[in-house]
This record gives sequence, structure tokens and C-alpha cells, in this order.
Amino acid sequence: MYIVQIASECAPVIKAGGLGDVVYGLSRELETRGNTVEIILPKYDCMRYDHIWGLHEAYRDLFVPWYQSTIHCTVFCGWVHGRQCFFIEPHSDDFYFDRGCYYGCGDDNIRFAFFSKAALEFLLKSGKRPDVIHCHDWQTGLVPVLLFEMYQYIGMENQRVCYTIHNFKHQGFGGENVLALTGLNRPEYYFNLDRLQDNFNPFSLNFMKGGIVYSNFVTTVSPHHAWEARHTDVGYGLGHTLHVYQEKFRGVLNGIDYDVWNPEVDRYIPVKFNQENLEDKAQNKKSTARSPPLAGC
Amino acid sequence: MQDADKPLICFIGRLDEQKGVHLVHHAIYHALKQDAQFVLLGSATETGINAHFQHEKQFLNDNPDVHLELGFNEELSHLIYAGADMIIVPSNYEPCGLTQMIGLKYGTVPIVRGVGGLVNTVFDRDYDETHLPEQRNGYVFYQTDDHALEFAIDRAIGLWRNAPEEFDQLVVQGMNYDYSWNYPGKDYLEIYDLIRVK
Repeated sequence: MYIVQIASECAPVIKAGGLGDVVYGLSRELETRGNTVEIILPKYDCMRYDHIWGLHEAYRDLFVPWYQSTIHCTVFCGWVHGRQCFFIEPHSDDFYFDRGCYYGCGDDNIRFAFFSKAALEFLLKSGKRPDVIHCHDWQTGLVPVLLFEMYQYIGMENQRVCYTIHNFKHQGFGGENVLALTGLNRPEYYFNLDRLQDNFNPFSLNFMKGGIVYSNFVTTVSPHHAWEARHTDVGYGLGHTLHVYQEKFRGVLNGIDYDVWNPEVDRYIPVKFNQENLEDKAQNKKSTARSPPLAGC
Repeated sequence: MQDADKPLICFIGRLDEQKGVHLVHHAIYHALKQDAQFVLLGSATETGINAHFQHEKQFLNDNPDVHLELGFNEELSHLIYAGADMIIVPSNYEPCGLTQMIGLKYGTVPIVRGVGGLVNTVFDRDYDETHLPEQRNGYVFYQTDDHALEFAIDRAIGLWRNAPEEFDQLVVQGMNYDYSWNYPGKDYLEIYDLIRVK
């Protein structure tokens, strides 16, 4: 299978929270199982370039339609600890990804609406036609909206979307300007509770809600959290939307990276151990008490 | 910190409301009251919480059974996972949670609040209703009050002191779980296969 991940983070090159670890860890596991995986990311100025191998221009003149014009982008390709990643660099006066941070700007919604659009435009123009596009969190919630309202009519009719929600707390909001900028337009169509209109604020579009409504499958990061988000207030207002789409909503537990977290091979611990020799774990307990930061008191 | 024949409880993670910071604070003092040791490795994002824990650190500075390390330290976190007997995860909100899964891999018995992904990964030794005794791997409490936390910690410390072989058995049962990307990878491929155009 051919899978493209569209995300705002991928560890260790771009890591703000758990999202980056999931994008990297899942991609590696999918490749181990014989699938082709590519990851599309913003080309932030402040990402860890020392974790990218072989960074080069992959697509020189990508013109992404934006409002009544286009934004000229260059797409770079490189490998992050074996995963093939594409980094989108827009050349505009807005400097969307040259802010010295990943998140926390007043126009984050516009920055990631642009990223979502640019990622799809890159797939379209470069002839990439994955079986599945997997996108993550509010930053890429507009990907399935744009795919099924626009891009499927201009050459991407066979792509399907899996959308994973890592944190319901941050949902991404926008107004009519987002529709005008992305070319979706038609506010009377999208400001509808069955589409993107926020469940509380009738004057706001909710990106994460768009992701839930338009994706072919929606997941969150554990089965119990899937239940909680739908039935309690930790869905932060999206519980009813999840209820409506319960047939395509499921929890899938995240994994941890056993290359990093494994007491049999861990290079940071003095005595390696496993189930067979628990007495070696006790040696580490002594080392913990005596380790420099702890021994001081 | 002194090397002593006492159970060592740890907390590793961010210190904020979501992670149940008030219960982390209580766990430190309850562990000391029960003659256990406590190591904390964490960083606060809010200045008020940071100031509070800096104060605690000063206050507990001369106590040989406790250490509070405020800040990030990747290398030290590996050592603490490997060295501690138990890890507490008293979160208010935890979509998945990683520290309990790492703890299990390192034979560090998780004591967790039953929310989010913690419910799917930690099964109470004494009270779980869905897993056989030989499949259980930790301690779970549900409420956010001090007493709920104390009850779980006391059961863990009690087993460590009074039935060390049984405690070791619980440790091994936890280490036998596979929380790598192996199963999630399979789950996602099933989903992809379900939705793709064939």
C-alpha cells in the first residue's frame, strides 16, 4: 500500500509534543511491514536540520492557488532517520514557516490552512496518488475537506483519508477568510452544522470538525479516549459530531519506540536487564540513587 | 539521595493541571510518610507551579529519601525508569500516555488514574474485572482526591514489603506486555485497507 502522511510534526526533526513521535513511529512500522510511506511537512526555519539526511530540491515551482493569486513554493526532499520526507517552503511576504517557532502565532489557522492546501497541490502536480492520506490533528483538518470538495474533481478521485486526533483541546478555528483564501468559498454551504460550522459558535468554522466530517476514517489515540471524547466533556464540544460519525470512529493505542525504550539495549543505563534477570534492575536502583544529580542531596 | 532498602516511587513528565499536579505533590509526601523514597523529574509550564515545586525542592533538600529534579533530562529519565520500583501517573486527562508504557517495559509498576489510554494499558492487580490475575500489571485509582491515590500507593508499597516474590511476579507480567508499534501498525493497516479504493 502507498501511504502519505500529512502532518505538522515528525520526530526528531520537528517535535513539539507526542504527535511527532506518532508520525515517525507509525511510518517506520508501516514501512517495516512492506508499505511505501512518504511524509509531507512544512519547511520550518527552526526545525532540527541536523536530523535530515540528503536534503535537496524535489519540486521547484509549485504554484499554490491562494485567494485570487498563487503562492510560489519549493518542495524539498530528505530522509529523517530513514523516513522519506517532503518539506514545503512557501515564498511569500507572510513567511508562514519562518517564524522561529512551530506554533503560537496569531495566524496559525491561516498558516496551516495554507499548508493543507499546498500539500494537496503538491500531490496533484507531482503525480503522487497514494491509496491513503493520513493526516493528524487540527493543523491538517482541512485536508479531507479540500480533497473531497475540490481535488477529487481535478484528478484525485481515488484517494482516501484517515484522520487521527491526538488532542481534542486544540481544534483550529477560522472565518469566511479561510474559505476565500483556500478557494473553498461558498460560506452559506460550509457554515452549516452538518459541515464545518462550530457546534457552539455559529460564526466560526472548526477545522477539526471538518476533518471528522469529511474523512473516511477517524481515530484517536486510545480506545478509552475514543469513548471519553464521545460521551464526556473531554471531547471539548465535538462529542456529538463523533456520535453522528461513530461508525467510522475508533481508538487505536499509540506505540512506543522499543529501539529507544528497551532495558535490554538502553545505552543510558548501567546494567541492562529483562524479565529473566530482575536482580540486574536492582543494580540500576543503586545507580539511580548515586547518580550525579540525585547524589547531591 | 540515599541508597536504601525502601520502595522507590517516581514521577516523570510535565507538571501541569492535565497531568494531575496536585496529586503529584501529595504523592511525594505520602510516599515519605510511608517510609518510601520518591524521585520526580519534570518541568512546569506555568510560573506558579514552577515556583511551588522550587519551594518544595528547597524544603525537602535535606531529606535523603527524596529528590526533585525540575527540568528536562532525557538521559536521567532512562535511569529513573530503570531504577524505580513504581511510577505514578495521576493524570486528569491523558489521551494515550507514554510514561506508563515505558514504565511497564522497564519493570516499573505503574500506579495510574483510570482515564484515557491509561485504562487500556494498566490493569489493577487486585480489582481488574476484565483481565485474569496473571495478566494484570499495576494499580489503578479513579477519583482525584488524596485518599484514592493513597489507597493505590499503599497497596503497591504493601506488596513490595510483604510479598516481594509476588511483587516481582507483577513486574514480570508488566514487562511481558508488547506496547511497541507492532499492534498499532497492524490496526492502522486494517483501517487503510478498509477505506482504500480496491
